[in-house]
Amino acid sequence: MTWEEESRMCGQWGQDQILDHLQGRLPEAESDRFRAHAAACADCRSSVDELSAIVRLADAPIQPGRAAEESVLAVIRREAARRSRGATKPPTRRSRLRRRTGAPTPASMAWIFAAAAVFVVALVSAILSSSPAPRPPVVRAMPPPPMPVEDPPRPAPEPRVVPPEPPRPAPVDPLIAPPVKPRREPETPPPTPPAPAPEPKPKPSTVPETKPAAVEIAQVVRGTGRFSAGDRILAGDTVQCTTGVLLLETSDKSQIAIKAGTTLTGDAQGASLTFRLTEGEVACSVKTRPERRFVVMSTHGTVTVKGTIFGVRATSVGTVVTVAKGRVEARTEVGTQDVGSGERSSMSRSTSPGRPETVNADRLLSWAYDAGLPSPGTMWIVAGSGDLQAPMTRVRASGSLSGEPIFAAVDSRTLPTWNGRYLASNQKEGGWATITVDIPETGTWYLWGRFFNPATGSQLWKAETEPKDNDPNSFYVGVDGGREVVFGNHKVDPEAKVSGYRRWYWGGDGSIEVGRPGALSLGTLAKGRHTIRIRNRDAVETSALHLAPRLDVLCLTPDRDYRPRDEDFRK
Amino acid sequence: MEQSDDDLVALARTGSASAMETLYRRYRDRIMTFAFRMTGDRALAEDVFQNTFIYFYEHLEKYEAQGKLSAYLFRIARSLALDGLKAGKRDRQAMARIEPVDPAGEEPIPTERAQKALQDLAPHLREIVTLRLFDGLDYGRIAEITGLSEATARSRMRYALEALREVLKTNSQHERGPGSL
Repeated sequence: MTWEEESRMCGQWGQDQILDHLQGRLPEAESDRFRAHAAACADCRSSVDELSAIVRLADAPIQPGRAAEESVLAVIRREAARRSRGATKPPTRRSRLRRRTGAPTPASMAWIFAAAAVFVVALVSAILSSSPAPRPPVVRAMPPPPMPVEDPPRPAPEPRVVPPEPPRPAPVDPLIAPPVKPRREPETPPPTPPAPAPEPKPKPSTVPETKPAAVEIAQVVRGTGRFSAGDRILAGDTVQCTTGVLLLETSDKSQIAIKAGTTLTGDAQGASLTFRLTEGEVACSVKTRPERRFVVMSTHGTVTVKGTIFGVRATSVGTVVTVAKGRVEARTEVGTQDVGSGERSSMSRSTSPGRPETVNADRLLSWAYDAGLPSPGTMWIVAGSGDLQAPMTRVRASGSLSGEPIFAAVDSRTLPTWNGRYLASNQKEGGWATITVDIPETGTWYLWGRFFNPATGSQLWKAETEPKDNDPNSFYVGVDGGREVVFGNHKVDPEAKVSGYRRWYWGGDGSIEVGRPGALSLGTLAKGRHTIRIRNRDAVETSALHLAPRLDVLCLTPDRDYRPRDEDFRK
Repeated sequence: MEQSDDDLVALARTGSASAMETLYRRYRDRIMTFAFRMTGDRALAEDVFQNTFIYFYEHLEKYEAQGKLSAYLFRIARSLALDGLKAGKRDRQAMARIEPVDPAGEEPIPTERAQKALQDLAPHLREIVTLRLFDGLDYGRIAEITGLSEATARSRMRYALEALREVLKTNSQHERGPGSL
């Protein structure tokens, strides 16, 4: 420290004392003394400024995610049961501490890599049929065990592979109501995005000779490795993920997350989409489609999947299948085994698949959810698809995912005025939207919405300077005619690090006015059909401005920690 | 009257699930917050969080009842966090290189900047700040958890705060307003 710097430092009060002052740990008299001193001491004042930011961190306790919490509660139940039986010695497993699969340690990575040479493949073949259909027989024969790379020549791939959607158009300037009429505008298809020539790019492949005609089977959504974001993957291509997690979207709109150290070869045959897992770990979220098969292969066996979300990890020792949603049939050369949601089974070639053990599958697959694989059970609903009670209406809006978000197009002439503004706030005049959903499993469900808050200019300023100001950013939501709660109501979206005005953002929890938007808990919903009613709360209209919040897409999820993203909405 | 931690541990040893749960609720947020502030990484923090409790419940006999359960839990969490940071360092460096992440160029919000500043401290300084700032522990307790002398803990705290100030000062023109006196 130079003499000059030293001279600017105030030696009278230590930083730790200032911290104590800020956190209220100093005796009152001391605090007063400090205030008096700081009034005259620039260094201490700036210290207060700087340390305040740190102190604010202390005001925000962090809560564990549901999966972490559940695993602790599970241990509590297990330990309580064990101790009640009189045991006091800890269980004798080799390592009792769990490690999250998403953060591979060097050791676990090494394990995966070590597997590299040895195995060829378990075979996960997913039959995508609507759930109660009887389990179809496994059609695909086991490939001969050796050699991951030199596959036998395959029949020509199925020609009618769905080409992937062109990339989503970049959001145009967000709307503020183009002169909106309470009537619905005539429906025309949303503008087609300019197709930026998604030239199927042939990639170097480890099996160039046997590669079937260039059928596109997937495209990289996120991450880099052998392929990087935006790359198209053709049948026969080998995808490698060297670091991080690579997220692919297959041509049938299923998604595959690929962990570091994984090699996957893609193929399309007949009515099946095949991914050969040479080594490593993948997690798949499969769109159910009766006419298509979804196949992942590895050395140790086959799995017929009827459900939608599962992970496969292949090592030199065996292949492990973890099912987060739905059911799979694990099949080795010797036998078969059903594995249900929340279960895991291990396969090795020469024995029957292991008896399923109960696991926290969501946790085991959390690495993939973190990378963007949709969580199981998450439902997407276009707000405008519900029954609309006028003046709740649809409007064309740029930047909207559904193309036609809803809003309360209140008729300003019928409303009381205040300060020259017509008010529909908190009124029934704004109409509502009724949406019916089928909840697949009883449990706590969380609601997200994609909102647009059209406050502009002076409203923006006013709302920011007077956070209690009534700005148009929320709806009411009620389930099955029950109590209504506030839905939306965010003024700032710190996640995007900009204010929540005049842009689309995901939010839900109506109790947070300023802060990171969270999900709105709908409480426990029983399995079955429910009605969600979304009612106007905030429409504010002037003769010139239609300041009603827009609601684009709803996301219903059983996962408390899931945060919807635009990319995840693909319907 | 609220039962003491030590009473609850004694009950837990007999297999009382409700005693175990009460203890868990008592320390859940503190341990999670500590883990997050130490690691700055939610995934790693959750590992630390759950492994702390799993270790605690599976080794209830190891705790010597002296009315210092919080120090004991923090000590477990601290050592797991330091291990995790060590083990995860290489992975995360690799990840950071390739992750496309959010569009850059936007100003981090103040709390994020503060968290980042905290993150950039060396772990041996960060743990002192974390225990003092977020858990409000006195230096005696901090010394107990970290195995340092009280004087060393104090001097590390001073050193850490100076370092934090330095980082935050260079950014403070972005700050919305001054902290209250």
